[in-house]
Amino acid sequence: MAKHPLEQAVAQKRVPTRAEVESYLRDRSNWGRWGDKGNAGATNLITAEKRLAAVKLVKKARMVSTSRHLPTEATLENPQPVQHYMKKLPWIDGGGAALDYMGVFCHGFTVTHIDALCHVWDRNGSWDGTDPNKNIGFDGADYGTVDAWSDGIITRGALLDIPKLRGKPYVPNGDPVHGWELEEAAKKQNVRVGPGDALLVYCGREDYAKANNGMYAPGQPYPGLHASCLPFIRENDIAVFGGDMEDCAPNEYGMGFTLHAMIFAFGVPMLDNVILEPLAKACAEEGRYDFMLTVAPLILKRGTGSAVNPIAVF
Amino acid sequence: MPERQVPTRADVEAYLRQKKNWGRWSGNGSAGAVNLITPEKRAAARLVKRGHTVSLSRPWPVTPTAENVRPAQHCTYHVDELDGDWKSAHDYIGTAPHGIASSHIDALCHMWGPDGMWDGRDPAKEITPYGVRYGAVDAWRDGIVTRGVLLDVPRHRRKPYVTYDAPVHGWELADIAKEHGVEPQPGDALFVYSGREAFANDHGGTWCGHPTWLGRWAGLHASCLWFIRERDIAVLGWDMMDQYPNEYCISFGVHGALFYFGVVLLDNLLLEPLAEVCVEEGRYEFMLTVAPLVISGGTGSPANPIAIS
Repeated sequence: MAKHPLEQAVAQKRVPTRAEVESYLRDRSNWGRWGDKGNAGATNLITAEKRLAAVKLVKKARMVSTSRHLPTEATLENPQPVQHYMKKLPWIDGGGAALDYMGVFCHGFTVTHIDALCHVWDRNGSWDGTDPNKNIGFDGADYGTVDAWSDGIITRGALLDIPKLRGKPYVPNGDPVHGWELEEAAKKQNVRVGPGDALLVYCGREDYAKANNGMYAPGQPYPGLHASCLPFIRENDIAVFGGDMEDCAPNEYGMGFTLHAMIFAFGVPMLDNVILEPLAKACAEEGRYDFMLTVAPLILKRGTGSAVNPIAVF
Repeated sequence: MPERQVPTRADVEAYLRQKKNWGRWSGNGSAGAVNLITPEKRAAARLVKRGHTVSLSRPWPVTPTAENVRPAQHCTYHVDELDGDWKSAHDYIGTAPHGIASSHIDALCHMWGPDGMWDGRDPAKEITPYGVRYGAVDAWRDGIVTRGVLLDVPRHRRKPYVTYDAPVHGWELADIAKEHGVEPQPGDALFVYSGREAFANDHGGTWCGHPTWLGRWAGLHASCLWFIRERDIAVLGWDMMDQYPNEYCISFGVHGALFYFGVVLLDNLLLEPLAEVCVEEGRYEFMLTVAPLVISGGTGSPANPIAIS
């Protein structure tokens, strides 16, 4: 296949135009690619063989969570805090029970969650060519829903460490992560990325927050990844993407979604707001940047996403 | 307890007190019997032969039924705050996960008996309006991975499900394990399948069958406590739970394993699909992964445990 202008731009380390980004999303779209299994999107790339290979990466059974604590405190970046209420019940014989209620707005900038394929769209429609106005109602969506992953997602995970590549603690505003940097990071870390992998990109969100009133995205601008990262995802046939930072905003194109377009164009589910600092440390200690990744979304029929606790196992 | 004889209430209470694990894992007591899952134990990865995964969770229980009187909430809404042609749809979910409808994990602080909470803690001190200070669910924030073992009671009994009049006894679990050719070991996650779906199909769609907590339902007998403790089981998952009420008039039976032994409980699982996989593969062991949500000070979490075979 001839190189797309967006791929050429990345190869030349040139920032692409909006037209190149938009045409790439159309030309390299995965709509129809998985036929009647389209609901699960790019996780169709995770075959039984892929899972077996992922399991073989477990050597020491060291486990690292990539989930933040569910955030109950209201802040400007957490305008819909998680609700967590306690109840204490006395029982007969001096026993008792403690119970809780929890309510979670699954999306946004603070809850670690998985985006289902129906979650975002542009004027051309939502994942696999569906019409969001027909697909989504108040009781959820018909297609591209989170229960496509009821049996969990188990695959090989690979982490790219941008602060390590750049020699700086975090990705700042005005200097987003470009596609060629992902390639450089993979090369420097000596980790291959391939079909069916979960790609996690660490941008140093905790350090950024420390330098910015404890918050990452109290409003725009916030730093993150650039649209030029899209070919790295698509050419390598990544099945799941996770980032501690999101698409940088605003972007020079005036586009609502750049990186998030992988959801509706490529069918790649995103793990948003994962915490990757502990995993980056573990990778450095273990001297390897791949591991088994497990994601077990709650079984929300017709759901647009779910709070999750993705676990990396070395 | 004499061989194959139903223990008395005094037997049960004395056993729980004598065999309690309080203080056993000092330093990391909050995690309880999960301390039995050593790195060697987590090498359960070697059990994976096919690369097949199966969920042990029921769907998010939004439908009101006799056993789901406070249904979980789930609603979807569009967000139109973005300019231009880019839009998104979002979810809110709410749940009180304990009870009999939701697949969830019990933190060790969730219940206690007359002697106190897990590890001898005092509920008056440990439970605050803002969360529990000891034995909370975030003790397992890095997830639980271990060997899982399924015991299939309907298959053993050649009956579709367990009934109230014939609870599952501890010695029966031993018989089933022998029959399946699988020996539960320290640090294992033990799953007991009792046929809850088939029972519900025959009883108006529910397992407890009554509109309040004070109904009666079939399940496991307190004599199972011996089986669990003797083998140092770390995690117990079940579709039916304690038989209730029991002949002892105590408010907990096998749930005593939570606060006396520090055993993790996975309640209201959906085990029928796993039982089918085990029959298909002709083996009753697999790799188990559980990843509770990270709720600081929480008494539990909805969970979707995954078996990998």
